Amino acid sequence: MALVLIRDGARPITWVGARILIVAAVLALAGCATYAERYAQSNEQGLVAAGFEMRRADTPEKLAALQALTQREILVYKRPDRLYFVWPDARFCQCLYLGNEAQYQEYSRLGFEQKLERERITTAEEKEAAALFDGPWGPW
Amino acid sequence: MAIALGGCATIRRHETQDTEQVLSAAGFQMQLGDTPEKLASLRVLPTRRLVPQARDGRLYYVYADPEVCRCLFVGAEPQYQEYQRLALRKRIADEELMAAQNILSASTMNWGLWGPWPWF
Repeated sequence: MALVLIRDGARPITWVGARILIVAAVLALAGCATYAERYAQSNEQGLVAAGFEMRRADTPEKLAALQALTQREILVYKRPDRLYFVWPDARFCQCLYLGNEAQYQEYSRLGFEQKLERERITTAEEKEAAALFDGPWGPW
Repeated sequence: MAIALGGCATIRRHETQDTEQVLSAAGFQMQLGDTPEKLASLRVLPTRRLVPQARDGRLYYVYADPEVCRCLFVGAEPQYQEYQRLALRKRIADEELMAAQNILSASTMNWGLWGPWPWF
């Protein structure tokens, strides 16, 4: 794309093209941001449903400590003999979710059930689409 | 080549995470390989396979993952049975989805293009 932009004689078109590209890039980034937010929200709902406790980063120090962690993934800590499961999210909720092993197991169970439900819905949609092709359209 | 290897590693990582989600959902307990000794002992066990282990006269099932979570999942008979039940549900759901996708691709195929089939 950069090569196209510096070609002589094509400047008016490529300038428009560049603007389209910029708009497309902005839209794509916005789409990614929306997806990332939805991903965070969906996981965080699951964490709450599984009994994880939410703790807000309500001071600059807490926020800095939160930002230092790997974001939006379950991290496991041992302290001192028990495992703790932490989900840090400095971007959307500016909080972390904290749970124990039983709550993590419940979160995994909910995630598993959600995955099966999504698969069940896709199966139903595929069957419906196949029936549509078999049905009113007649032979090709 | 590097991209292909990277792709394989990503797929394996996802598969491992899926399996570990089911193990945890079934009640298996996670133990971290948080010392060099534990990590070395994780590597001795069969990797990412559920294997029976007798300990103190009881039968346990262990799953060692020295790469993704660097941890060991440990369960007894009830957790093992629950894991098998959940894995079976997932397998059935996968097979139903695959069957539905096959039906869809067969129904959208223009079979007429291929002329009459001699064995009909």
